Amino acid sequence: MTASVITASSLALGHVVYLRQEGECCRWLSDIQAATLFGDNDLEAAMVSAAAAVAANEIVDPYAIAVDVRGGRIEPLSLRERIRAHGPTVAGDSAPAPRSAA
Amino acid sequence: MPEIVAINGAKPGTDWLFAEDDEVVAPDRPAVFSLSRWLEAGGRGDAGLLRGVRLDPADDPALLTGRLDGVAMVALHFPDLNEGRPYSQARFLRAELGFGGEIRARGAVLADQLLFMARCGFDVFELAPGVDRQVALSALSAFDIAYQPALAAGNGDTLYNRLRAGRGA
Amino acid sequence: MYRYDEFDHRLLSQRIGQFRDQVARRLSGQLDEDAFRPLRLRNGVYLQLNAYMLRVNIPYGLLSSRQLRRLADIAERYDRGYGHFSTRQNIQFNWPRLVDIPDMLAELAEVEMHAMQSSGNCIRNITADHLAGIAADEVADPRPYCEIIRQWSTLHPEFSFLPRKFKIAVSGAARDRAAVHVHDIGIRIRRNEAGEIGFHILVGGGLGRTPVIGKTLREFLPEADLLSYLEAVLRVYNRYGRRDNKYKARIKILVNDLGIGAFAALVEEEWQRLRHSALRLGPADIERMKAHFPRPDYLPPVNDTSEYEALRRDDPAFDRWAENAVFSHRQPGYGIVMVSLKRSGRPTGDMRADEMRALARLAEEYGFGEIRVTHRQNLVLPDVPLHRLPSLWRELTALDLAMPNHGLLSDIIACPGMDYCALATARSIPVAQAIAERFDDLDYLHDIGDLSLNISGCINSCAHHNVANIGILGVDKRGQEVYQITLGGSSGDDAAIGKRIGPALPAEDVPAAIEGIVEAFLAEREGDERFIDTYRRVGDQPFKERVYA
Ligand code: SF4
Repeated sequence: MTASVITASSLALGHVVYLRQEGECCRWLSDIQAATLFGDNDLEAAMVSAAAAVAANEIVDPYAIAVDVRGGRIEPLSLRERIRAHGPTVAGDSAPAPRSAA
Repeated sequence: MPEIVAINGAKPGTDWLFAEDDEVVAPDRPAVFSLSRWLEAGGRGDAGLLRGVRLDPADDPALLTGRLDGVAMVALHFPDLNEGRPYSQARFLRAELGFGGEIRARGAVLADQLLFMARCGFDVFELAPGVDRQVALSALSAFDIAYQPALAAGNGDTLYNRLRAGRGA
Repeated sequence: MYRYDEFDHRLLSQRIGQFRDQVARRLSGQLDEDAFRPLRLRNGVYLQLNAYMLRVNIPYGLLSSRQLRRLADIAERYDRGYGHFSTRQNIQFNWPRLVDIPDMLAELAEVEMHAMQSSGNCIRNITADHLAGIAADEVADPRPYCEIIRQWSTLHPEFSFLPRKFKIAVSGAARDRAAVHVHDIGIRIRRNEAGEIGFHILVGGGLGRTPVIGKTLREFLPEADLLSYLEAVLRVYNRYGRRDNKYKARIKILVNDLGIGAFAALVEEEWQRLRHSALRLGPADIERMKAHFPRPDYLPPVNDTSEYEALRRDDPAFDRWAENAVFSHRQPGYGIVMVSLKRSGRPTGDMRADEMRALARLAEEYGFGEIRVTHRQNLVLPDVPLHRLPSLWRELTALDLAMPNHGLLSDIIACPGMDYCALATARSIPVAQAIAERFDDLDYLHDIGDLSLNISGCINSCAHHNVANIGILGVDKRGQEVYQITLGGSSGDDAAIGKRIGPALPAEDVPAAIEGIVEAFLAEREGDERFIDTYRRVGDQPFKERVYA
């Protein structure tokens, strides 16, 4: 199944974050697995929540990305977004720990 | 009315009319004309009338050479905050044409550019909507030294010259 | 090295205070992102793919051991324990938090370092030959002039909102090691027949989507006129450079549109007005600046070099390193040691905090506490007594910093690419790693000889792929990373733009393609020819045949 999640960067920290909608309440979390999945019909409303978080100086540059959901796991379709979700792919010991583990 | 900040003793009290090119202006109304209208009209102001000229970033300030008699102010326009040409225009007006009147910044005039503007010769700032006057004033005093010889309004500031007399460059 | 006086410290601390206030206003919402972005960029702060990134200047590539230790501390305290050396004598931290950056800048200021103008549409870090002051082929030391330019350009009120970024490089040697031909302004120090110092000024070089080799703007600019002339060039650019299209905004486009003659005439007119202004440099100004860069107290050469000679005879690994990584110093009895940051299995140009500290110690024990940063993402220990090379080599080997691949195929320049960079269209570091893995046989690398291979992750060309002998550009083709290969580029005195040899290849085919190119070269090579010379002699046909067979 493909769907969308909304991602952004946290203003104060710069970390990659994803929108999790809990009723009226919005949270911005770094684990993509915690993100709320949106379809065509509710994406627009979610972008309104994201714009509110921009106005509230929580996040920067929100946008929707396409994801694949398989076996309950959310995986972005584009390489760029997979890198944002999991961290750099480079080998070597100066590579940081993967984000999901951080 | 935009919030106005003035430095170096500039007195921006006048209620200027920024006239359109085809706008009829009463002779005694303090008015600011576009460069082309000013030049077409002969580039001279009549004694006793308050006149200003406004330049767009692409305008060549050298066209005002010998055409600043009777000009009390020149307004330079910032269409957005990344616009860099008015800095050079202001410096040219001060350093090359010896213009001693008011140089006013208009448009996207945000607090953090003011010091650069002041050091190029601007002395009046029409703050963009939403810019806090206190923030603007404190931004203007963020630095009290500079590496370059810069122009304060009206006089060739010699801060740099004094400093370099005792230091590297 | 240049030491800050009270004035420099005060200016920098005021700058940090200003940025601290700007960050606070951003966090409180007084500034929105559009207003904040140009402000943070002028302090080296990007918002990248994974996090903020802080780019710190290493002016003209000069670093003290104390500064390197501080970079290590900052990497550990505020980042993930490592830094990345870029191609313009900067170090980048990939994971800082915005709220911490003012503190990071304050800690850098204590060791006389800063991030001012390391990004944004202003005059960037002034770069220079990494062998300044020590090279045997030097006409004059470029560092005093670089520092004069650094100060003039720092927070320049008129040139802080240029049409686009502006990069200046200075070389004082017979051979160009500062890539002056691909900078907005390239400066080469010369002496005229009367023995006076002057500058050959190049303008309009640059890479990106329209790669251009710089053109001569002035053959010989008198020393006293350096700043007034630069100011004239910048003023013409600020006024006439295009602002409507970011891809046409660099000075190279203006120079091309006007023609170098008409551009030079505009500069000349401006310069005549400025030439006798306060910007004129007096002999005392220059002497004062030169005094900041004295020759170190070199010791007389040690005559007993038996250990060195014995080791070269007996240990092929040492012999190879001494041959490849040690360069002749203008001071008898000393050598210049290249420290490669192209290690197998490690990202190009990356260095961990513990390695920085170790190298800082070696710089003190084997030199005068100084380190240089090259534009090929390597480091240099500039003043090593020859008789101490064997023990330095052992120490560097233990640190995995004695890789003798200077100037060889595995000395790859790679930009951060899509692993870090928000503008990237493809990854670069993993491709560099795959190629380095394929070419890990040092004998083979040395047989191949001089060869530059650069990889950029997008057309911005930060890795200068278009002036590499073998250039690789990562592009996106319908969601797939593919790589275009160019051949024949060169960045030195014979600067040339590489030519594409054919359609782009998927990442997994790139190492084999490079292997094919190298095999074609070895088959066509005459005698000890360098790759670039063979290419120039035979053209690209033999290479195409191998890659696209
Ligand atoms: S070349 Fe492109 S991908 Fe690489 S660092 Fe520069 S902007 Fe980023």
